[in-house]
Amino acid sequence: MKNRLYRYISWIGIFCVVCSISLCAYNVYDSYRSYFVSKQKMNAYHVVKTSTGTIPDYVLNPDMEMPEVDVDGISCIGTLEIPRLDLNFCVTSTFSDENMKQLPCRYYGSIYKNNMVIVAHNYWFHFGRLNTLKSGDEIIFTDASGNCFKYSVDAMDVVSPESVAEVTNGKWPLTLVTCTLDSQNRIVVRCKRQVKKGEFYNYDF
Amino acid sequence: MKRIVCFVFLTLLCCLLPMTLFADSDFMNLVVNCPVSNMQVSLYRVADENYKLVDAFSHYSIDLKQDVQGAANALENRILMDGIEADACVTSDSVGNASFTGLETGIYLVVGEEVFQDGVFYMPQVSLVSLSGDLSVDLKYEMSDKPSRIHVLKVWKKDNKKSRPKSIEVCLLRSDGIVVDRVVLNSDNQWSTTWDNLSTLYTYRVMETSVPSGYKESCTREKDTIVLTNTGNLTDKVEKKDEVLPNSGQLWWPVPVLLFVGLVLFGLGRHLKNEE
Repeated sequence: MKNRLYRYISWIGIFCVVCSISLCAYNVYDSYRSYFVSKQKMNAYHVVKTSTGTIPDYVLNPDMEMPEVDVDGISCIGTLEIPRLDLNFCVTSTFSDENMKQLPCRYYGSIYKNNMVIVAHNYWFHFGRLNTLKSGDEIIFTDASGNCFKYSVDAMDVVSPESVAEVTNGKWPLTLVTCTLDSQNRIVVRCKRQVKKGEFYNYDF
Repeated sequence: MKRIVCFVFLTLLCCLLPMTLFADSDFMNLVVNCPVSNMQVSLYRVADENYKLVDAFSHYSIDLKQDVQGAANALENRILMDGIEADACVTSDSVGNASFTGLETGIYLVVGEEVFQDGVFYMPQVSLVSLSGDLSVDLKYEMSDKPSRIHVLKVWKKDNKKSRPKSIEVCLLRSDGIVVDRVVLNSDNQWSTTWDNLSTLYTYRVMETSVPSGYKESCTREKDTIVLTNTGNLTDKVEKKDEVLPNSGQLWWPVPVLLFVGLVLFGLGRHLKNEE
């Protein structure tokens, strides 16, 4: 009986180790898969230039819909670049679990209304290294019409999953969200706008 | 005694009768102060004192209460398009005053004609005036060259995106009332278009060919962009938010747990085997 018991225990132990290694391998594979998918989408992405007046349309009408570009069947609103992490990928127009497996998603708001929230998986090549960003690091969002909006990291926070109102309160013009490694909480990176002299920022004329 | 009473009565009657007749006259005067002399100013009675559009303007979908300047511009466009005649037309005198007399109460649209004088091009801004007594107003104007490029942007407010028309047609209207071009705006062109290389002999306006039912139109100009706004009658609805933020994490936590448990069990099994 005891002979059998130590065999069972050993086999269960081996099974657990195999499961652990498999899960780790799957996660690494999933990270690389997302990396190649987002790279492929980025290659297919193209800016649609539209004519505009002296004052950009989004300044005259911040409520306007963000222009979208179809990238292999997914509607994208622009690209997000994080130079410090060497990341550059398309951002989908709407959030869904399916979209998030491929690209970061717009979760809330609009870049024109200064309240946009982008959420992405904590894949290594998506937002997995978001917690390594430092205050002042540059974040660049370029919309589908080619308008470039530059931000810098202002604050970083870890919040509970129920903090929807806190994340979408619109106090920061751009917010990046991903899960912590244990998936129990959310890492929130708040970004403030970098405004060059003469650039249109305020909507009051 | 009767004569004295009669005399007093007649005297009072002679003094008071003109006052009662002319004190509260129904007709008013309006003086428009123009930047220059010889500027033609046209006056249109567009609405009554309750801001309700009247006569030739009654069928337009324009709300005078929401955006006054936007409504004034939209009315001016419609006047030019439909060839509505002014109620009164006066040319400013040597000091720049254009005087209108005998006007009834209501909302008036004041339209000044563009004037090129002393090397300067005066572009008066159309304005709405509420008249309930004698009034003097300054005509706002710009002094700039006529633009050769016009960008138009369509804006939708207080409506449901799903019930919004898929496209609308806008026309480029020359100052002599001739429609130069028509363009369809939709989400594919971001509800905007641009006309370049326009003749600077004319000024241009852009207007929607027909306003969709349920919307009020207004028109504003920001530099070289004309913003055509259609406002629906929906109130801004409260946005429904999720209860929790999306789970954007990979399943990492079982990796060390399973590894630890596995190694412990495997070690225990080996230990039991050695004991055996």
